[in-house]
Amino acid sequence: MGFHTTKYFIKEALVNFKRAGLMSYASIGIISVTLFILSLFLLFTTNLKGVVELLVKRTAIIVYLKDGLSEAEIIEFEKTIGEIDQVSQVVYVSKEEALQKFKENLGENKDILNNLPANPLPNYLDVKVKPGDFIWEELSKIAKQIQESELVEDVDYGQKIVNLLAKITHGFRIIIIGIGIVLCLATLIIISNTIELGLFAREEEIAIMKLVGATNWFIRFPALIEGTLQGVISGGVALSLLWVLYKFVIVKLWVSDVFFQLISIKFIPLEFILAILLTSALLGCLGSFLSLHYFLKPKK
Amino acid sequence: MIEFRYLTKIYEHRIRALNNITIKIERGEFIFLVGPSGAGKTTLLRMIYGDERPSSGFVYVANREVSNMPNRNIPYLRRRIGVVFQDFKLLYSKSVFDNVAFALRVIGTKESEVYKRTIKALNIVELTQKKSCFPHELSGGEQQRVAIARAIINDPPILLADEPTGNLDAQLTNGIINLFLEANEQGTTVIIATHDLELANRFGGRIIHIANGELINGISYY
Repeated sequence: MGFHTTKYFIKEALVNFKRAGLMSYASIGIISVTLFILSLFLLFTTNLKGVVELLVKRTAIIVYLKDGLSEAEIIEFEKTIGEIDQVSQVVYVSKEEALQKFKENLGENKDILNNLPANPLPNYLDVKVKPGDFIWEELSKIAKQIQESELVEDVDYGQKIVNLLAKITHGFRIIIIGIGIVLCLATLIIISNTIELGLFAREEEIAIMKLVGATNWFIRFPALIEGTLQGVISGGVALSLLWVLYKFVIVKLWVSDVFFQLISIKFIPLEFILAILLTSALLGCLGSFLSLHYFLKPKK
Repeated sequence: MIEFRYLTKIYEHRIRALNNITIKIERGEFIFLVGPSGAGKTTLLRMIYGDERPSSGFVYVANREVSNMPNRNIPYLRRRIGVVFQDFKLLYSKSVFDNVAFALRVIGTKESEVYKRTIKALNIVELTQKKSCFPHELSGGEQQRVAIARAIINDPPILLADEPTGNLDAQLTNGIINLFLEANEQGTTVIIATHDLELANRFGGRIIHIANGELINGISYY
């Protein structure tokens, strides 16, 4: 494909875009709103991650060890746990240290422990995990894995709350995917309809193009460019709207609320921005491809 | 150059548009396809440029079978056939120049080449002065000439015209037919479909009669 052909395609696409006039803008408006809702969910997800990270930081798996283990056994076990992918840190706390900590926690009342015949507390390992997308599901798996060891008396990781969080994040993920699919389909239908209306208006022109020997690709290309353009512009508008909302509404509300100050709110990361633009471009392209099908199918 | 063999076209509801037509047309012939309205002239022409497929029988153009040509090859066939449509099929949103140039642009011709050849074609039909006009600003005869300029711009070896003199007066008719005769002198095979037998007799050339989708004088060989 030569340079002049490419130039012709782009020129045609722009002319058709302009000729569709109000239709083009209406379609961009509707698609922008659709993509805006989608990106709003992405913004929510992004910041939910911040909440998750905060919770993960405060989460630990406490591994109570059996009594009478040798130091070598404990060190070896500590190493084994440290090698699990999602584990970020393992700290060994001996029963003496545990008692010391307990006393510190009791403060003025620490004397009540003085009369104990022996130290009732076990040795334990304090295992911290790295934040990740599926951390709540993984946390219970890791805990179970650790518990299988003969050296372990018991494991405590706040089972109830962790399982609840796992369920919530799982549900949320399904909702996001579901909404994403629905919104993508809506975008596809809107773009394909707009392009199709434009094509109907040019039905005669397309018929003549075919009669004077234009290939289907020659007819298809400008329309594909037009659809892609509509998609990308809509994506851009949606992201701009999101940014304005973020900068001038969400951030201001956030700063004024004491609780939320614990978590710093972020804009969606670059990967999401690129993903939205790419998705909208692809949807635009696919949408016009689908609408062209009707016009280019051969007569019987 | 063009050959129909046992060509039959049946539309829905069993309407027989063409029935068992066999015609052979040699390179460089000048043909009048004569018959009343609804005789099947337009259908026959459309078979040549692959806008219509036969229900049975064969169509050959330049030794290639068009009747079962894959759709993706049809555009390349059409670039070798100039067609002047009964209703002109001009684009009313484009100027005379752009209408004629359209046939070159949509096959990806360079813009410098487009200009040169469009001006040449407009010269032949004597419309260079009106190249910036829009079709609705032209008379019927002028619109017809724009359609002819677009049909000849690729120097096609075959030129088809469907009722090109339909509603023109005698003088304009002569001018239009002369354009086709000139093209024929350059070696182009020309087929003109018309209901007007008198016109065909006046200009000579071979006459193929068709009525109710059938050849009047049987198999038409030269």
